[in-house]
Amino acid sequence: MIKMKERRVGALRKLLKVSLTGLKKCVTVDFPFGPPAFVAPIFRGQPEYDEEKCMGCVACSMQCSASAIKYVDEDGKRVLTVYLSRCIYCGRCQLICPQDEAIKLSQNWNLVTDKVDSVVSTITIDLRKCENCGTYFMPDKQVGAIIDRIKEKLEDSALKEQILHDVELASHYCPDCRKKLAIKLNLHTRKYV
Amino acid sequence: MGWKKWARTRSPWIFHAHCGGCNGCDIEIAAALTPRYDVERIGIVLTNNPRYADIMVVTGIVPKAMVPVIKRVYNQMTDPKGVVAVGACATTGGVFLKDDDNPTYTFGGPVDKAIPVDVYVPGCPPKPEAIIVGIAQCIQKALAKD
Ligand code: SF4
Ligand code: SF4
Ligand code: SF4
Repeated sequence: MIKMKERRVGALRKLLKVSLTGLKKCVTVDFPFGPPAFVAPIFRGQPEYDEEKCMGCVACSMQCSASAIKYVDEDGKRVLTVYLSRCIYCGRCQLICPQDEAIKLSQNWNLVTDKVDSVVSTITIDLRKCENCGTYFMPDKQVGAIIDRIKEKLEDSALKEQILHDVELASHYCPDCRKKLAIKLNLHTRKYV
Repeated sequence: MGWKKWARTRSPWIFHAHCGGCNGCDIEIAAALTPRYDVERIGIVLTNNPRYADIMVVTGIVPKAMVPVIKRVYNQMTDPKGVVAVGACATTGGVFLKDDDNPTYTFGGPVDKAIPVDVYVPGCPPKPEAIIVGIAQCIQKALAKD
């Protein structure tokens, strides 16, 4: 009997508490006229490129779940475009990027538009010109990044000087010309053994 | 401002058409209707009859089987009317259009192939705020005329 009474008092107290929370603070967000509700720190919004870091390797484009990232090579420039109406904000591009989050999902959620292809994130990157045939073959920054990485791996190899010299020499030519000029430039790895 | 325009823009009724989405966007639309965002306080009311509706909110990829249905529902709405496409599926096809030439076999969309769309709300799913912004833009674009 006493237990029943206690339970009733407990339930009443709970009811009072719930009905009084409305007086303390208004839960409704006054959004269209005021500021929006909070954005969670882990919220994934518009992917944005970092001009400094991105080297144009298009790994993000290959990994994209929805094929939202497209790229074109034109007039010595590579233009990467994220079509945000197609993006599903999964963050795979950020995860795969070898340049430590050169593409990053920001907190921007307001992408409402009336033209479907008008909301985009883009970046333009310079391509390197082959010194022999004049075609554009690879982003400048990517060549630099590759050479840096080779340097890291070599550490204190005995052939470090020779390898770096060869890589530097080869980096000015497109893959086709590299094959054609292999003998002239003496790029064959035979000399290492 | 004419009184017709005033009345229309003050209380747009929305019709929610679920066209083969994963329910993510539909949950966010439901969230926009809950007390947290409470769009009814600004006159936006959910109705289940397209004949009463001013704005149709479409979610999902619009499967082939839904194309005639959504066209019919659109024709049942009275003028002036607006359409808001919510989510990546409805705006472009999103993850169901991984390959441009070879989409999922049920894919009949996106929505703008079947019916004219006024406002697109990208996101997968979009935040309830984004949906409210989309509906507000649709009111300005489609309903604010005499
Ligand atoms: S964002 Fe990262 S993955 Fe994408 S092109 Fe730039 S460096 Fe490569
Ligand atoms: S977040 Fe996902 S869908 Fe969006 S661009 Fe990155 S990989 Fe593609
Ligand atoms: S856009 Fe994303 S959340 Fe919305 S229905 Fe499509 S898959 Fe689901």
